[in-house]
Formats: sequence, structure tokens, C-alpha cells
Amino acid sequence: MNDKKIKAILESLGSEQVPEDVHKLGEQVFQDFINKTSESRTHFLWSKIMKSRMTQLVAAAVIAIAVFFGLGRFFGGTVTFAQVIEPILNANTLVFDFLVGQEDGPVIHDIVVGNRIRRTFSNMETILILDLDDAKMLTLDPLNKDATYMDIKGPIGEQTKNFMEFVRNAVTRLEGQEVEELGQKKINGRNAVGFQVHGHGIKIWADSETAVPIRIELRFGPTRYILKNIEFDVPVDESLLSMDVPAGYILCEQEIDLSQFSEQDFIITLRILVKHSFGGNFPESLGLEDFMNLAGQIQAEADEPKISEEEQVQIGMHFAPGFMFFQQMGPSGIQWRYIGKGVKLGEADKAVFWYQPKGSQTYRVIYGDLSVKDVLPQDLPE
Amino acid sequence: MAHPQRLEVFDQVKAKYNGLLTGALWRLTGDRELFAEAMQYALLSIWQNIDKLNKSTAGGYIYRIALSASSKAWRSRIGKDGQISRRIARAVSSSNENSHDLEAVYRVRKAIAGLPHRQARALVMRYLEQKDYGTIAEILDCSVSTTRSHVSKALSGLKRELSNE
Repeated sequence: MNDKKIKAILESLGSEQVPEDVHKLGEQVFQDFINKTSESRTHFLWSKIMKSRMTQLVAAAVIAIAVFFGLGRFFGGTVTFAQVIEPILNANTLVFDFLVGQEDGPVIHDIVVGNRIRRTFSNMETILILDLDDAKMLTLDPLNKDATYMDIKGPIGEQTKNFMEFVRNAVTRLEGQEVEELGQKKINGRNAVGFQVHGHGIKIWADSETAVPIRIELRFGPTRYILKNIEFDVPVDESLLSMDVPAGYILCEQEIDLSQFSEQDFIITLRILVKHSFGGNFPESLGLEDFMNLAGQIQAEADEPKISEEEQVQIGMHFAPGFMFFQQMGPSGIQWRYIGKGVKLGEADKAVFWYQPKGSQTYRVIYGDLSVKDVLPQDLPE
Repeated sequence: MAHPQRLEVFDQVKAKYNGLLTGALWRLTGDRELFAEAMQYALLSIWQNIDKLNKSTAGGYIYRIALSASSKAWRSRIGKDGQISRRIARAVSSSNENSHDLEAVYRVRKAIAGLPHRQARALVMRYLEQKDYGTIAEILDCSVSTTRSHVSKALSGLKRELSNE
């Protein structure tokens, strides 16, 4: 390109008037910014914070606590059965491993004492301690000795609570369900008897002597969940579940509220996910395990990120709420579908995802370039 | 700076430089989504550097922020190996009625984002904001001859960059 052409382009850009709607757009961005800034102590905003290792860890931690969304609703009935084993099921302590997707996927290890949970991960260093009564979560980074508190009021806390209830009462809640016996097998040296609950995609393996569940497999939408190595009433050092910041840790003053999330958060999260986990090609399906794997990747790279500074900020600002937006759809009764298989990031003419916002007559359709349109039901892409 | 005070100064800076920032970001992006993203980066940067913007030299700094923000917005776009997406291509095309080929316009915008800061600022003020050299020199706090040199070097840099692609 020669000087003349460059100057001509520059001059044409300089003579261009800013359209009125762009002025309005700028004003809207400013107002959004001011609104968030006003709530700055509890929201995802500050670039410096967002780029910090702790923020990356917190973003990943959100994925780890939101995995239980919707799982508590498998059984709706109340417990009226098995008076004998109920005291066992209401045991003071509960320990289990939780997997999403394949058996070799990342493992979440939970220690539950009363309404407190200590959660650790096979693919992340983070330790989470959840207090479901106070709806608070303490996040610990053992590598840097950082600690932060998060508010988990609202859906996250409630869903986690419901899920714990489900695990505790999984066997008793079989009452009234159409159950098929799967026979017996050895699981970790224990004789186990299996049941399959029709209509719910649930398999439960329980100790054949005590009837206490030791392995539960669930299928929820496209995603498979496995709870294994379940143990009740094992001795637990309760200091492990203390909500106090451990000695040697520094408390980050940042507090994070997880009750705010939007479509825009989801779109940015989708871009990060597709770009970094799938090389710019939308995956065959969109599942929880994809977000979990990316969360592990974010944590692994927290000190030496392979992504740009801007994307670090975006992850800090949008990854956790974007995931929340996605994960709460099912439990909130929002109809959605992922149709991104075979689409490349940037393809504006191909839809990848649609959902129907609550109370809306139209659908929001997200395309391969991550633009969004309102679409009538009859025009919804296949 | 305390939070309420920071908000107050931020509001003042915004009121004073809103037109400048909007114009610069629009001309550097030419696409509404890119513009909105760049504006977010710019506001964040203003917020973080509010102390620097509460001074008489703020004007020059605003240009620096605008250039940096548009550069970040461009870089965060997915265009597969830096290629422009069709949606942005359409937007760029429609935003430039003089219709130089859209790829060239895109490349110029992208190349501006890669220039050294002072050169880029001088170039943007001279061509995109159509300011005279005296005004630019005042904003950049340098002599007119230095300003001319910045613009000249910026044009050379663009030429070099655009001939390499």
C-alpha cells in the first residue's frame, strides 16, 4: 500500500461522522460502567483484580460449586421410608468423590460435616469451604497463601444444599419409583447391590449389608455425573471445615457476589471456551465438563497464563457469571439448545445456541460470530 | 483516592472528553461491537488512571487510552490468525462510504493500533481528528517540528507495516 492510499484512507476515516446510535451506544457503555462501579465492592470489575491469580482461581471455583445445579431435583417426594437406615443417612459426616463426564475426568472430593463442605479438586489447587447455613464460601489458594470470601446466597447455595440432601437420602427416595435391580458386584472390595431408577437416568450402588449408597451415576441432559467412594460417618478433623482464614494465609479484601450474570457474560465465556479448549471450532456438545476442564486449565496457567492480558481480564469479569448464566438455565426452566457442532468461530450465518428467556415470546439465537438475534419460534434454527 | 471522589473525577473526565473518546474509538474501530468493547477498555483505563487524568495534560493521555483500548479490542477479536471476520468486514465496509477496499481500511486501522504511542497519537489527531499541528503539539506537550516528525514517522511506520503484510 503506498503513501497516497494510506493518506486517502486516513482522511476518509477522519471525515466520517460518528453515527447518532454510536453516541448512544457509548453512553450506554458508560452508564453500565458507572452502575457496576457503584457496586464495585461486590462485583467483577477491576482490571487489576481481574488479572490476579486469585481472581482466576475464584472464576474456576465458581464452576466447581455450580456443578450441582439442578441435580437436587431428581426426586421430588418427601422421605417416608426406611426408618432403620435414616439415622445412618443423616450421619454427621459424609465423604465422596464427584466426577463430571468420563471416569478419568477431573475429580471433586467433598467432605461434608453438617452444613459445611470442604471441597478439593484433582485438577486444581484451590480449596473451597462452604457454609451452607450462612451462604458463604471461603476460597483458599495454598500455593500463594491467599484467601477470599464469596457470597453464595441464592441459587448456588440452594442448589448445593438440595444436592447434599439428595445424596444423603438417595436410597430412601427410591420409594415409589420404578426400580430395576442390577444385581451385585464388588466396588472397592465391598459387596454392592445396584438399582436403576427408570425415568431419571439414575443408577445407585449400595452396600449390600447396610444399604448405604457407595456409588451413584446420574445422567442430566447430555451430561453424566458420577458420585463414588461415598462414605458416611467417617472421622473428620472438623478444623478442616473452619470458615476462619488459616494461619499464614492473607485475606484478599475483594468480595464477590455470584448473583449477577447476563447473556453478555455467557457469550464472552463461550468465546473463551471455544477459542482455548477447541481451537476456534464449536464442540459437538456443550457440557459442564468442558467448563470444568477449562477451569482447570485457567488454574494451571494462573501464574504463567498463555492467554492475552485482555482475555485474562475477560475471564476475571465474565467467566464465572457466564458459566452461571448457562448452568442455571435448566433449573430455572429456561428452554435452550446447543447446535454449534461443525461451526467455526466467526461464522455469522450459522447458529450455535438458542434459548427462550423467561416470559419471552421470541428466542435469543447466538451465531458463530457470537452475534445475537431475536427470532420467532417458527424461524428457530434446527 | 477514595471511591466517591474517584467517581466524581471520573464523571468530570467523561463529561469533558466524551466526544473526543467516542469519535476516536469509532474511527479506530468502525464497528459497533468493537467500539463498545474498546469503550469498556477505555473507561476501565480512565478509572484506573484517574489521577493522571485530573491534570492539565489529560488530553494527550486520553488519546493514548483510546489507542490502547482500540488496540485491545481489535486483538481480542477472533478472526482466525488475525483475519477479519465477515461480520466485521461488513461493518467496516458499511462504515466507510468512500469505499476504499475494506481489507485496506481494516489493515490501516489495525496498523495504527500497532504504532508507537506518541506517533499513533499524533497521527490520529492529525488525520482522524483533523487537528492542526500547533494544537497537536500543545496536546502532546512538544514542538510543532517534533509533532510533524511524529506524524511523518507514523506514516512511514504504516507504510512499512502495510507493505509487509
